[in-house]
Amino acid sequence: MDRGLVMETVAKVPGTFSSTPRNEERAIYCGDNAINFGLVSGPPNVLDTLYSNLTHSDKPFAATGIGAGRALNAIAICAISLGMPIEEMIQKTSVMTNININSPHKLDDSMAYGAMQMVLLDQAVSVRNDTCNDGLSTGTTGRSDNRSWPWWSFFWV
Amino acid sequence: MERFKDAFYQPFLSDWQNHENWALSGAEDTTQRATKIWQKALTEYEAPDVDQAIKEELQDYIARCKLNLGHNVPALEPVYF
Repeated sequence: MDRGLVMETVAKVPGTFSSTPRNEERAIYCGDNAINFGLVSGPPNVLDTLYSNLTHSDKPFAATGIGAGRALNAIAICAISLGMPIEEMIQKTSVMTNININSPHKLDDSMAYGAMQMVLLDQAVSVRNDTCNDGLSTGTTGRSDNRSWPWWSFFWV
Repeated sequence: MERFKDAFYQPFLSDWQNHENWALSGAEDTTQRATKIWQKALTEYEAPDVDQAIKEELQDYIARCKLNLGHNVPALEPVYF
């Protein structure tokens, strides 16, 4: 991939954004020096987990975003919980996902399509180098000790 | 020192005392401390208010998705809006 293209694209990423769930008081602000603690992403039984996230909690949540369909499910379910058509999720960032770049630094089609689906509906995506995080970059997203913060990490909204 | 209280995040699960003080204060391991935390969280839990109609709509959507699982679902490629 052309480095210039990558840098040009990364430069378009907003420095800060908020993720707003059903309960607007629970919105989290991302960027600057903010540290956020939220719900994890990636457990099995994905659809049931999304249902639990939205009915047992009113906090922002992260979803599994491998393949566009999984990302779309998370956004669609969130749209239902907000009582709005999915098209209106644009400009209403409520779902986040994390794409772990596998060793040896390969972005495969499932990862890329998942990220694209999130971006097409203005939802937040972080892309991280998994190998710098002991294979646990999703965990690191929410870890407090900052032991192995990725050497590059950014959000698209 | 004046910024210590606000400048650092203090973990609520891990115990940062030295070994002697940790032993004197009951030598609780992480599992025991974590158990107390989840039990307290469960006791204090209050379910958020969710409209029954929204719950039903969510269940319908999930049921429809599950029916299609395996037939190119979840889809690989994105949908454009």
